[in-house]
Amino acid sequence: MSAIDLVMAEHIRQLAAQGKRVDARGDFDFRPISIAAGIIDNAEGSAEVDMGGTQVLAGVKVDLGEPMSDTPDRGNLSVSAELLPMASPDYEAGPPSPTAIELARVVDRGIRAAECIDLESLFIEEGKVWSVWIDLYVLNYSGNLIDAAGLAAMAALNTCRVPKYEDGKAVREDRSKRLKIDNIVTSTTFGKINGRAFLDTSAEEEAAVDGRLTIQTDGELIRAMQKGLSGGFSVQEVSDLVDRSFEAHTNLKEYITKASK
Amino acid sequence: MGGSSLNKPELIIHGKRTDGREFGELRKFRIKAGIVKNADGSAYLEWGNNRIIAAVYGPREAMPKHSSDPAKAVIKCRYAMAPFSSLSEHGRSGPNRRATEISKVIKEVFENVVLTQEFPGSEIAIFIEILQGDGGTRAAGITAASVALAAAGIPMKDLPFAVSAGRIKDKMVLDLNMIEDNYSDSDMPLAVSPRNNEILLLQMDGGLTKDDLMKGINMVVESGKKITEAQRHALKEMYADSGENGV
Amino acid sequence: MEIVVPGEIVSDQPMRSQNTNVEDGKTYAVRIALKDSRKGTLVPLEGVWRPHVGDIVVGIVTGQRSSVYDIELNYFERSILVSGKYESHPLSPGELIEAKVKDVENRRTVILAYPKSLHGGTIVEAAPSKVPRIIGKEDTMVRQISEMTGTQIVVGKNGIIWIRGDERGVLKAKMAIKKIEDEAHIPGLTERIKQMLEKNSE
Repeated sequence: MSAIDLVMAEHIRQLAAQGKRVDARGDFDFRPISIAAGIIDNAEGSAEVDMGGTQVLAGVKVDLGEPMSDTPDRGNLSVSAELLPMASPDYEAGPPSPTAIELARVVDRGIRAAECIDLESLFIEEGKVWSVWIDLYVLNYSGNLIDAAGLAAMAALNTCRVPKYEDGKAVREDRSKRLKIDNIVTSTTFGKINGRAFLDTSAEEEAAVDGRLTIQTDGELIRAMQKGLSGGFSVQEVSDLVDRSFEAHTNLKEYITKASK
Repeated sequence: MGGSSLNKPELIIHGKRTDGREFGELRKFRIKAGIVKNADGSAYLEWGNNRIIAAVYGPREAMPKHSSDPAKAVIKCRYAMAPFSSLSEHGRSGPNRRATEISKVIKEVFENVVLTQEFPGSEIAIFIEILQGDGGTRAAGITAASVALAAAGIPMKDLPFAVSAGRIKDKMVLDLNMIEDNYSDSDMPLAVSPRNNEILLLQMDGGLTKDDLMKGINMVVESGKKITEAQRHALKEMYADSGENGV
Repeated sequence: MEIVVPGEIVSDQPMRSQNTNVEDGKTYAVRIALKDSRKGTLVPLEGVWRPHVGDIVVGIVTGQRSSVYDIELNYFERSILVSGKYESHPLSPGELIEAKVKDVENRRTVILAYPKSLHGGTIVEAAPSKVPRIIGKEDTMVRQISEMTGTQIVVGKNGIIWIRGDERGVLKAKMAIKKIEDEAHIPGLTERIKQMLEKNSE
């Protein structure tokens, strides 16, 4: 973190103590969100999310594959994330960092736990299943990667099509069948700055964030949670933020369904 | 989670769990501090069928040098499962993606409590080796690593403990073992600072209502008294043996 | 005397004492330590050496870069001695010295002064947290060991201890130091060490 970031972070901490944000947003407001779905024709599904300047492109490929030995009756789901070197001066090329791995695994857990995809429906025949590969490409980092990536993944899945299966091969020219989506999960991440939690922290705010809590819900149940960074949360805070997450769900879900029309 | 829906076993029979425990009951556990001679601090933990060693080195010179922080000690953490640690096939050695993520969140737990600003430029390395895993290894690893850090004389605000809660059908249960973890409807490892019950690690997947969540958190917090006591006892035991011979 | 561990309450009142932390008006231990209720102090049982100005240390000259010597003190930060100011003769790599901490720059680099060469003898390492007990109140413990074993001993606050004497004496001194390390927290230490050394000399 640069010296300038540190000075800015101190300013943000002081603002937080007065209940203010540097961009004058409410504590639980998202920055502007836009989603462009279906933008990569070669992929079976795709969506690019812009969340206040954070840009994440999710691409989905659906390939023929073998089932995992412990789940012979189900297709596969795999989520990876790449923090592209272009996305921030702090990102470097190389093997996935712990941050990238955590990002991918948190998004993966939300989708899996909420049973968004019926993996059993991806079974073709014994030893043959569809494998769904979600790649999260972070094009620009401007804070709150988890929610932006989660939204992109969900929107991309919601446009995803499955190739035709013929003579033991995937026929990608015929992708008329949609991937069956059973549930929609949304992600809300709160950053704690100077003892106060804020939704959707920007890059400059993240320099001041001590603790982070991600809550993913389908509107009915909490589906996945992840606490990150060194700062802790009280039991009461967790309880309050779960309520906020449920509140935000309806709105976020609408972005996903609108984008895939 | 993650297990096949085929042949799902009954996890609760006549109001008890498969290993005979009550819903809010911890597995039997035992902690011994100071078992790795070379390390500055260490602990061995048996938690149910989990067998875990945690060892700590430091504060020591940060390597590589550019990884150091002039304002505080950096904490490094490696959580790894031995290739022979599970009942299923031989595991791949080296940290996989799961282990990388777990190492990261465990590191963050200890960044909260260790007074890192007292040792600028140094590193404190935490090694957690799962010799045998039976569900809840990251939680058990944290409980053991807390003891190892304290045994190394590292200044820390508190001695965190960790344990998981989860949902089996409509019941919230404490401290899931491997079978319960595989077939439960939700699993949630938590690490807590007992001084103020602040939550330092929280991961969860599956499905929980808010009531389930609060119930689970309270079960974990409540169980902490017993764990904290055992951690403190293990540390004080380090000085008990020589006392009997000495006087 | 009672052992306390991190997170344990040492007082329901705010207390200003090393190795503690005050939160919500209560005082908590932050390190594994012996609590002396009478003096209200916590004496650490484990941990690395924290350099303070005036500490006597034992180190090894590892090299010379421009006008400073690098000294190995078994410490995670650099330790240096400015050359040409205090030493009676040029120091050479591998040489053992006793020196005093003159300054700790930026809470990191240890600046040494007043080196004395330690010729012959051997070194042993002890946990820095046990050094105060090895030295004893007003040097009583180290003097006792030195006299009863016929050895010369310099105890560095950094946990490096230099001993010179005949083989038997050095061995006995090492055993005594080991015993102090193991039993530092148990009262009556001076007497036990004395008994041990007397028994061994029979």
